Amino acid sequence: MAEIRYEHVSKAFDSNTVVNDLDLRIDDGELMVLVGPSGCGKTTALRMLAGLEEVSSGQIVIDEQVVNDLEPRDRDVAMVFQNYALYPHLSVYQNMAFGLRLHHKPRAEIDRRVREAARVLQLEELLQRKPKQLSGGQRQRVAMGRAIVRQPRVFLMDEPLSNLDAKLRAQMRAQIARLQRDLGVTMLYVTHDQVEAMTLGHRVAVMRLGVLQQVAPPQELYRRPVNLFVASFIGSPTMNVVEAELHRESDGLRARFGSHDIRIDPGLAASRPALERYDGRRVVLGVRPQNTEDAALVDTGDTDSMIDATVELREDLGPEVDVHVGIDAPAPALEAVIEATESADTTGEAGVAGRPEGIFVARLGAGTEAREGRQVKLWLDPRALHFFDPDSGVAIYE
Amino acid sequence: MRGRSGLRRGGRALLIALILVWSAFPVYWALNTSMTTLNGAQSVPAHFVPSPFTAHNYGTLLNQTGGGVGNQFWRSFLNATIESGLATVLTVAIALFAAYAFARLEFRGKRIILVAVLATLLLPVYATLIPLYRIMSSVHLVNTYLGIILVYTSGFLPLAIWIMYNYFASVPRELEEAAFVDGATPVVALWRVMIPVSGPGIAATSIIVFLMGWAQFIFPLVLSSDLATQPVTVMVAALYGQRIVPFTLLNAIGVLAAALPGVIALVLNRYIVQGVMAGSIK
Amino acid sequence: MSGERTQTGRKRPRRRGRFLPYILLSPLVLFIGALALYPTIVTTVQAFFTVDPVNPPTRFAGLANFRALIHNPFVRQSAVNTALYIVVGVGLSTLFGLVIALVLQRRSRWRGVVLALVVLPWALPGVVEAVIWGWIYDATFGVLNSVLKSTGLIGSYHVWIGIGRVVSIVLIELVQVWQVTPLAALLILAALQSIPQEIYEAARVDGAGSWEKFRRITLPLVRPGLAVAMVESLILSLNVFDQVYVLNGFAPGGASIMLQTYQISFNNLNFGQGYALSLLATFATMLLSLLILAVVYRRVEF
Repeated sequence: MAEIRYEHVSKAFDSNTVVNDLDLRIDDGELMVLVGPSGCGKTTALRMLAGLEEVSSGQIVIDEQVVNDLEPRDRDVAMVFQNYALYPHLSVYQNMAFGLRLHHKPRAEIDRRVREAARVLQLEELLQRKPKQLSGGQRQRVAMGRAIVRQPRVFLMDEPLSNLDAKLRAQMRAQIARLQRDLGVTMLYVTHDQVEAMTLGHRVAVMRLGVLQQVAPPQELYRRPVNLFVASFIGSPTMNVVEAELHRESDGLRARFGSHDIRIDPGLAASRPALERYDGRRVVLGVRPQNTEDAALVDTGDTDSMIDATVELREDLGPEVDVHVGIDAPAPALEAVIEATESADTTGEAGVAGRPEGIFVARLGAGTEAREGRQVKLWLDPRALHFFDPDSGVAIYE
Repeated sequence: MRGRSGLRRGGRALLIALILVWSAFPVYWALNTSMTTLNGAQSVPAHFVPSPFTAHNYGTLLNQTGGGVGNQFWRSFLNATIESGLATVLTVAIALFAAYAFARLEFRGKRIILVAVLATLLLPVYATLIPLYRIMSSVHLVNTYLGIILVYTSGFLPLAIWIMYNYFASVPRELEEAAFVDGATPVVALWRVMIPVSGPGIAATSIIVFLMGWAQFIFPLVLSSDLATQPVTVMVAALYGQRIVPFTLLNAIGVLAAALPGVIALVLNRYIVQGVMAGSIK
Repeated sequence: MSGERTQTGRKRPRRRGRFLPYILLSPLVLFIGALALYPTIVTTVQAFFTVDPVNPPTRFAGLANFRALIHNPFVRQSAVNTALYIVVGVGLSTLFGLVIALVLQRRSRWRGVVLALVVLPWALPGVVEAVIWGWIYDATFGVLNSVLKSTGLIGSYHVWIGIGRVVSIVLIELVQVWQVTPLAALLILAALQSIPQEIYEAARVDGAGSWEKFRRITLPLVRPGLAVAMVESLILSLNVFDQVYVLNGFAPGGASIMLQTYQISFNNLNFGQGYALSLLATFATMLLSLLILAVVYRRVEF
């Protein structure tokens, strides 16, 4: 059992800084997910903890012990690799026993532990097989088994499910969560898949370009993203953003974008006192597709929260309908914003292609009558609006 | 349409037949000649199957009494086996460790050493033949197994390293990293993971190096002047040049000298193909 | 504090045993250094010296060795011979290799067997092959004569080796081509197999026939393989020795440069001139290799 701390950890390859001043604490028994688009430094951060990559500066602490100069073999960690890295010349049993043999465990104990892990992972029938004779899902479980039998202080998972198909991935996700809970072991889990991150993590750490953006439980990450990048990266489809101008009227703060002018819920405004400072100034306004609805399906006369739009594309999902609509409002032309939405879009699992300017995605109830080419009146939930500083991209809260 | 594809298929079959005749006929012809009498071999026009058939030539070679041709042949056969066998062991052992270092470890001077080693692949025999003879003669290693083995090893190492290096480079790095995390030192990872995983690569390298050793001619011609160390190639060339041994017997000797590499090539074919292809295009 | 850590971290391989690579490499470096690089340096330097074990000491000779070689008619003739060996060797082994590779590229039931037999000649010692072919070429009892006469291509039996210079060289080199072709075929096959199948399918959809596919896709993309195969057979035919030694001895009509080098050095014990000729041949090898690479090699990345 272990607590892990990254203290001002940086990693540079030549002049290229891959991880920049990472400060992160993983509590004993916690499942921490490190998520971000490819090239954000998450895998490097994990590999530094494993000892496969040297730390350029700062220190990594496991249980109050600085491990910077320890070999991987002396760190008492186990790792599941993206491609599993099973030893092809060894049987399933030997694969799982390999680490224990190297640690000179007694034969009987090795056998007991391997069989126990095989039972938990339903590998008992496969113990004599070679990796080549296994399916993708079975290989994945052997890789897990090889980590479990070691009974390490820390579990490291490097995108362990990315080579599985969607259905198997969901199954294994549940199994990993169960195993982690049952073993109570500290786990650092790296993925680019925000769905995996949200469903698995006790807390989720979002990284971008080597810099840690936010560490928070999934719900908080979703509801209170600290900046535009996190807001865009977490959640699918990606959050809609427009450039808006705040202004105060007698009924409270309102946001004007294009020909639209919506009211901000007074409760929301009260919980975001910093918004006052933006009165009369530009902000980036964000609305998640899930916080929109076809006005015809909303039981409210709240016309202050409605905007007119033209449906360009309708995607039936079954229980819901996604519509891509054109709205009369400029997209924020800021570099940081574009970059944030693009990197989220290209790596997000939902496969949302880069969103063209002036296009809003709304997730509507199945009863909507929005059709391509027609007008639709959209209701934007006034209590679920997000605001960001247009220059820094930082979310506006207190 | 059907007519054309039939024609094409027929053309292909003919081409394959030609290739097979080209590849195998000379060997068949040696076999044919070796299994008949001198009169049978000298018939005009030639017989395409041994007639009359006789195993007499092989019998002569098996009869080792006195200082006959059989005796010389088996001695040179043994010499060739010892020289190429030991050179193979030495080459592969050295190449394994070196190729691993090149493929996996980071150290100062790596590029320079690798380039220098591989550059010697391009050196023709010319560049080293005379100096190697003079070095070996100055340290009294002419006419010794050791001298020949050292020269062979130095000549085969670059190719062996190139094949092993490419093989190691194709092994996923994660395999060793998994071993490191599992508790292995680099030496243990090499021994327990890299080498077992690279079995086919090691086999390919060994086979190719052994065949190269068995085929050597000019170096042993220069480095060994007597039967104590002369390999079979030198012996065969000498017998051919003297023109005192009948052609049928000479072909039997040729067949036996070709038998070991020939069988290796036919049986372990896929390793050779793998090895050549592994080191081919970069 | 962080300054202190940069000291322990950074570049320097702190773990993984800093000396391990050098330990692993030392036997290699010893072998290559002492028995490949050092001899090459000796050859290069002593080409400019008179080196004669019967008449020591070794003394500086300037370009005398090279001048002697240029004025030696046997050397000049062997250079012409070797040029012919190279043309025949590189040309035929590349052509045959390409044809065989194209045939082997198609997967079929017989592929394994064909491949095994195709590789066979490469595995056999050149000397033994020369002996076998020598009997085939035999003037009185050879099967070559027999077949050509019975098919009516020649009226009477020929002496193939040792009379006509070009015919001798072509036939001697054919033995080497027999040995080298499998290697060329494998190298070209490797290049062929690295061409993604989809490219051919795309070309077919675009309306290309067999010939267009070969000319516009196969040939350009197989160039790296062709280049390597040609360099291999260049080096071997420039070094041709075994086949010539067995089939033609030291007769000037077929002697190669390698044979001349051997004769000058080990029969005449004129090591200085041997070094000089070796040096010239080494340079020729490198220049011609580079030439082939420059003309034929094109980097292909998929």
